[in-house]
Formats: sequence, structure tokens, C-alpha cells
Amino acid sequence: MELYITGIEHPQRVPASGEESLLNQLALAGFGQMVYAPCGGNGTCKQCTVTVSGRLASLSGEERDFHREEVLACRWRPAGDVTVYLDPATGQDRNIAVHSRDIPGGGTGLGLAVDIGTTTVAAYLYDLASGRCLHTAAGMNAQRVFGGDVISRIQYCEQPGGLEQLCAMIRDQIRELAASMCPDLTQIRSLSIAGNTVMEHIFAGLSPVSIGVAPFTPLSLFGDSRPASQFYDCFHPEAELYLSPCVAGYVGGDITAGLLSSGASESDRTVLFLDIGTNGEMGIGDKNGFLTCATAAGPAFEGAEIACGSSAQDGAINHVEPDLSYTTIGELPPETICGSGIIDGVAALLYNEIVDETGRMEGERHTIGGEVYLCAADIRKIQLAKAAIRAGIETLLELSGKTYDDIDQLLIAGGFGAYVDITSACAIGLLPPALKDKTRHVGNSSGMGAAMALDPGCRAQLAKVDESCTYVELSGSKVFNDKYIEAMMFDEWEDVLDG
Amino acid sequence: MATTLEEISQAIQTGKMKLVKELVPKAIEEGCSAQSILNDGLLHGMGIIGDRFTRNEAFVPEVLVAARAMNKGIELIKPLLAEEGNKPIGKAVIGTVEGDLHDIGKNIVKLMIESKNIEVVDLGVDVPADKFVEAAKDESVDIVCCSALLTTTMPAIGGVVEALKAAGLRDKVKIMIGGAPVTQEFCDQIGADAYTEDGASAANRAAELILEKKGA
Ligand code: B12
Ligand code: FES
Repeated sequence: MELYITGIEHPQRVPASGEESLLNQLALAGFGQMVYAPCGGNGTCKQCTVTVSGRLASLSGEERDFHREEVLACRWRPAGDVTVYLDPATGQDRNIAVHSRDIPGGGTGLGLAVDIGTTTVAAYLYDLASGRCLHTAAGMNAQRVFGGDVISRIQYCEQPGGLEQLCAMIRDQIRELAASMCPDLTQIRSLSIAGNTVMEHIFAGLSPVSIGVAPFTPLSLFGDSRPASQFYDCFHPEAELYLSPCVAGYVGGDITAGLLSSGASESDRTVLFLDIGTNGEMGIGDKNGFLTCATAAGPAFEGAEIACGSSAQDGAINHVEPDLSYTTIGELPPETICGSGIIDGVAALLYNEIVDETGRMEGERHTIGGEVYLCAADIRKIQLAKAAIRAGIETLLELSGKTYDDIDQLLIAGGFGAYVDITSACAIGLLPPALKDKTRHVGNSSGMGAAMALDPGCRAQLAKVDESCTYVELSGSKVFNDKYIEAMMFDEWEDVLDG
Repeated sequence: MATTLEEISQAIQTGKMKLVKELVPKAIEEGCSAQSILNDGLLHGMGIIGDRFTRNEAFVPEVLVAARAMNKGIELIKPLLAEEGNKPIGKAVIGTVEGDLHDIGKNIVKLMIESKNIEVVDLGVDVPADKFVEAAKDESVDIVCCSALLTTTMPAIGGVVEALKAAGLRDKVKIMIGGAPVTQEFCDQIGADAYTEDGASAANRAAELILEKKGA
């Protein structure tokens, strides 16, 4: 039995197994990047479609022949030779952008800084003597085929060999990114890596399984340097590798690194730092320390769970105006809608009173462009996700005894800040309208923090930032719960869009 | 003109607790039985909001305010219900499984099941399998409901099914499961009795299961 994988530049034949799902086999054959699988094969996201011909069996045992039909790759396994037609555009993120800046110099050789995001991985090559950034490289996290959020990755690590496989994937990916920027890897004498707690565990080969269930205790909080030879044999034999310090199971080294590089941890005035991804981590504080939490918003803002949603791929609607006109990525005919388009879209539907303040939509669905629509269920998913972020903010505010007037700046980290329209985000109540004019994007602050930590002095600073962070557990918090229910409404858009 | 019971149902649907507090005594004065106030007023209104939730016409906050109003109403007629000898049609226990602390969905399911005049014992969150077993030992329990929101805690539902088997209680109770990552396929795989997608359908299914069970 074999799989014939086509639709790509060099079609390939690989041996097929009748035991494992098509999704897993595509992942193992190295085509994971071309299938979008936010729920990690659980069968609930319904987004892992591929086009197939041949005989397949469903997981419940039904067998039939297919002729160029779409199936959910995680629900079917081969029952004969199968042709899989892949679409290379699927799941790609056109919004990956990498910014870099200089770091303190005075070292020797080259340094590699890496931000391991759950969704994307970005790498930066530095000249340690001058502190200059020489090159940058980025890609989708190769583990993504095993699910969009950290929990699905953890779950994959629970099966035999799962951790080893994910660990090898990320280490290989980092080596490849490094090799794409630097022909002689032995010149790299220092590596600095920042990621959330789960990503750092997987990279280090430590099991993240205990982070997946209450009380979410990680095996390590990192923040130490080790010989890179523990992980790699391709870099300088004496290279060291540093992993950014984590605060808790769900507030990781990406956040401490971000607090450092964004200047938040040096600020005299109160700052709200927000990293909006599937896990919505945030912190409120100043140079004396930060109160942090994680809000589990889910992947709706990355387009998952939304009927026509996708990542920021070609043909995705990426902006919608209040008058419901729109633009798409690559100026192509609309095929899907990505996170920034979804947030704008909901704001526009509110503005046009197609969705009311309780989130109820007039009719079942509303077309945005071409065959792309937002439906009533989509609005509900957005309400759950946006309320989680907002309630996290409100909870931190209350626990720290602050009001919006006390906040000097709202810093938004990651791709989200760069592509999402802040006015729309305030209109749907994801961000507090009171902070609309105090908002600043800080780009890939995690990657920049990792880069700074190539310098020993900055590493000491980062350790201090980590120590000054306090973690608030939202599970079981009555304050969070009340704020969460309150934040589900859309009752703020008039303040934002009419003003 | 709407009858007082219809008005009560309306007041529940819009979550007007104060209005419910006025209307319930009025209905009693008009000679309505507590039983009819419960079924045709309070629970009727809650049932409608549940159906609207299923159709995405209403959402979590509306369900919760409606439930608050319903509970207020029930509190007012409780003594009368006891006098009339009104009994719930059955009893369920519900909890979020071990390792999982999500409870908003579970609470909604609980409220909706209660709106079918089924008594519900809430075991809370992070409930180990033996707690479910302990609760199921109660003679009168008909259904055990398990909720899980994490793909990592979903297997713990299977653990509850096994523990109930081991305790010899599997045939005594029906097992109903749910939560965002849970699917019918998973339900079949672990040998639970029923899976439903949301609160209103969970309530309907629970009532059916009790009828089946009591009929048999
Ligand atoms: C709110 C929320 C939280 C709150 C919980 C507050 C609370 N008191 O419950 C907080 C912030 C504390 C939280 C914490 C965590 N969360 Co959380 N959370 C969510 C969120 C945003 C919404 C869940 C919710 O309340 N939905 C609303 C209710 C009404 O829907 P529901 O629960 O699905 O219930 C309905 C049905 O499923 C069904 N149903 C439910 N139970 C039952 C039972 C039966 C018997 C039946 C028949 C039916 C049924 O009926 C309900 C009503 O219709 C989701 C993401 C999302 N957008 O959905 C993540 C999400 C569930 N959380 C997630 C994670 C990872 C976590 C954490 C582990 C990590 C973190 N960052 O903090 C922690 C751990 C907590 C723990 N161990 O339980 C992930 C799980 C991922 C996965 N693959 O499993 C999600 C999906 C987000 C994501 N993709 O990252 N979370
Ligand atoms: S349904 Fe297949 S990966 Fe989600």
C-alpha cells in the first residue's frame, strides 16, 4: 500500500500503513505543514481537509472508494493505494514578519536567538562582537500538524515516542533555520531560546505532560545555560545554550523575554503587556514587578473554529471596513477569512446592527465576500475567546488595585498586534476601549528578548524580571468568572466606532 | 392577554428576577398549583431559553440570568411543592473530571437538566473517579454526568466509566458525557450511554434516559 502525494512541486510516493490516520502519515512523511489541524486530530475542528482518490477506511471502520473528494485527514486511514492532492497555500501564514534590533556587543563568534512560538518559529543570527543582527529566518512551527494549541501538543507527547518525535522536529527545524542563515554552523557559539513553558519543555526533551492537567506543574522553569552539545552536535563544540526563564506552566519564557525587550520591566509607570495567541498571556506592573496570568482564549483569532476561517494565507480576507468592503491577502478572490478579518468583520456586523449587543445575529449567516461568511456560531466562538482575554485584563486590574487611568501603556506583543486593527479589537471589547489610544505594538518581543539574552548582562536582568513576576491562577477564580460572563457582551462598540 | 404563568415564563426568558418575585405570589393567589407554576411558568421559560441557546439566539449570560430568576422562583414555591407532594422525575449527579477545572459549560448543563424537573447533585470540578462512584451509590441516582474541556482530561471520563463498572454500578446508572472536545465517537469508544452537544439537548436526553430507565 502506498500514498502518492501530489499537488506539490515534487510529487512523492511513500509507503502507507492501514493502522494510522492519513493526518499522522502525512505528518510523518514531512507534509504536516500543508494540512491545517488545529484540534490535533481529535475530530472536532473539522479543518484538516485534504483531497483524495483511492480506498480509505474511516476510524469507525466504514470503507469506501474516493474520487478526488475532500476528507478529514484525521478521521480516515488508507485501505489501499491513495492519492493525496495537497494545496501548498494551506495553513501558511503570510503575516510572519521578523523585526530585529541590535544587542550589546563585545562577545566572540556568532549567536543564534530563537523564538519558539506554538504557531511560528523565528530565528535571528547575531554577530556577537558588534551586537548586529545579520540575518533573520522564520517558518510555521513544524509541530503544528499535531494541533494548534499547547494542550494538543502535550497530548501527543503522552503517546509512546510522541515527545521524542516532537522534540526532534523542533530541534531539526531550528537547525535548518540556522543553516539557512549561516553556512558554517560551528561559528555559532551561543544560542538563546525563548518559548512558552510547553515549547521549552519539548525542545529540552522534558515531558510537558504534567502541565496538561491540574495543578499544571512544569518539570522545569528553565532560565539556565547548558552546553549546546546536550542538544546538538552541529554548533561550536563549546557553544552554550540558554533557555529563557518561565514563571509557571502557562506563563513562559516568551513572556519574561517580552517584558524585558519591550522595556516593560524597566518602566516607571504601570504597563499592561499582552500576548494574544491561543493562550492569551498577560501581565500588569512596572519596574517593581508584574502580576501575570494566562487566559486560554483558544485559536479563534487564528481562524480556527470559524466556519470560513483560516490562517493568514493567500486569498484570506484580512480587513473589513465598517461599510463591509474588504481586502484579501495577495489581492486574490476571497476564499477564507483570517484573524484580523474576523475581528474587523465582527466589528462591522455590530456597526451595521446585523449582530446585536448580546451577540445575536440577524439570520443564520452573513456573507462578507464571495462565498466567505460569518455565521451565528462563529460570533459565539468569538465571544468566548474575546471575553477570555478581556476578563484576564479586568482580573489583573482588579487584583492589582488599578484602574484604566493608572495604565500608561498597553503593549501588544506578537503578530497579533501588527495585523489586527486596534479600533476593531476595542469595538468588539477584546481590548478595553479606554486604552485604545495608549496601545503600542512591540513586535516579536519574545524573539528580541531571546536575542538580548545572548548577552550575559541581559541574562542576569532577565532572571530578575522572572523573579519579580507573580502568577495568578484563574481556574477557580470567582473574580475571573464574573468578569468573563460580563465580557461576553458587545456593549462597547458605539463608544469606539461612532467616536 | 397573557396568563400569569405565561408572564412568569416570559420573565424567566428575559432574566427578570424581580418580576418573577412579584408574579409567583400573584399566581399562587390566583389559585395556580405550585406544580403548574413550576412546570408551565418557571421551567417552561427556562426550556425556551435553552432552545434559543442551542440555536445560537441566546448565549451564556442570558442563560445564567434566566437560571438565576428560575432559582428565585423555585425557592418561593419550594414549601408549596413539598406540600403538594411534587417530586422531581429523577436524579442526576454532575461533575467536571479530575485534572479539569472548567465549569461554565457544566453549570449550564446542570441548570438545563434541573429545568426538566430533575434533581441534580453538583460534585464541582476536578472530581476524581471514586467521588463519582461514591455519589452513584445513592439509591436514587439515575444518571452520572461527566464534563471535560481539555483533550488531556477527556480520558478521565473513560476512567469514571471503568470505576463505575468495577464498583458494580454500571447497570444501575446511565452515563452522560460532554464538553467541547468530546465526540459521539469517543462516547461509543469508552462505552458511555449518551453524548450531547449542549445544555438543552443534554436536558432532553437526560429526561429521555430517565423515562427509559423508569419504564424498563
Ligand atoms: C473560559 C476558559 C477557561 C477559564 C475557565 C473558567 C471556568 N470557571 O470554567 C480559565 C481561564 C480558568 C481556563 C483555564 C484553562 N484552560 Co481554558 N478555556 C476557556 C474557554 C475560553 C471557554 C470555555 C467555556 O467556558 N465555554 C463556554 C461553555 C458554555 O461551553 P462548554 O464548556 O463547551 O460547554 C457546553 C458543551 O460543551 C456541553 N457540555 C459541557 N459539559 C457537558 C457535560 C455533559 C454531561 C454534557 C451532556 C454536555 C456538556 O454543554 C455546554 C453548554 O452548552 C476555552 C476556549 C474556547 N473558546 O472555547 C478554553 C479552553 C477549553 N481552555 C484550554 C486550556 C488549555 C486551559 C488551561 C489548561 C491553560 C490556561 N491557559 O490556563 C487552563 C486550565 C484549567 C483546567 N485545568 O481546567 C484549552 C483546551 C485545549 C485542548 N486542546 O484541550 C481551550 C480549548 C482553549 C485553547 N484552545 O487553548 N480556561
Ligand atoms: S478534525 Fe481533524 S484535525 Fe481537527
